[in-house]
Amino acid sequence: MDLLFIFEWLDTSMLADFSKSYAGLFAIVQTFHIASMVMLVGMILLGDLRMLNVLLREVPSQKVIDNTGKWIKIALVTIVLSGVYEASAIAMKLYFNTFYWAKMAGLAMGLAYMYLIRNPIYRRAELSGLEPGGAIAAEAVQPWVVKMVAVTSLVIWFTVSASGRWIGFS
Amino acid sequence: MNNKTFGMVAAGISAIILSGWAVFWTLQVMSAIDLIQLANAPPM
Repeated sequence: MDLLFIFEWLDTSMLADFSKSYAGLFAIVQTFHIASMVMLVGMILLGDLRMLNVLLREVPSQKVIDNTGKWIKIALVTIVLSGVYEASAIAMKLYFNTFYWAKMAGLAMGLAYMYLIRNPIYRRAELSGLEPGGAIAAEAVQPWVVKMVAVTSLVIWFTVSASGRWIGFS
Repeated sequence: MNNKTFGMVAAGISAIILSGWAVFWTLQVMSAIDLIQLANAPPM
């Protein structure tokens, strides 16, 4: 499906008039966009490194995942709102930029992976990992699966961040 | 879906993503090496 019409509409919208006219406001919105991205990736990094047993080892992993989860949602909403505002100023340029689409594809994949694979695996690992006696339950999620999921999550979000940064160079 | 089955599904999907990522970056590095070699090649 060709999405060009959306970008053409955005390029001529009132929002675009506004974002193209006020450079100072654009810079402020961009600050929020970048800060939210740092928060998003930072929170994901915390959860993944906890599951890799690199940091916060004394804190139950479910606590880390739950606490970072709400900040991930706040960051995502801010990223999308500020992102649409920023995109309106350079809509046509973005449409023809390969790295913009790499970033969007990575973002979609990252979100799908986080909510369909990563979070359920972490929740199952925490809930079923240990029997009262401390032994790993027979039907538990295997520790190597949890670690593989953590590494995959890190790889996806690194790629999204790198693609986003690369838009500025291309 | 029980934990073991879901874990295997998750591992399979992760393996596909990781191998795709590895292939992509290998091709990128190979293409960068080609470009560097072209840039340093003697004039024809």
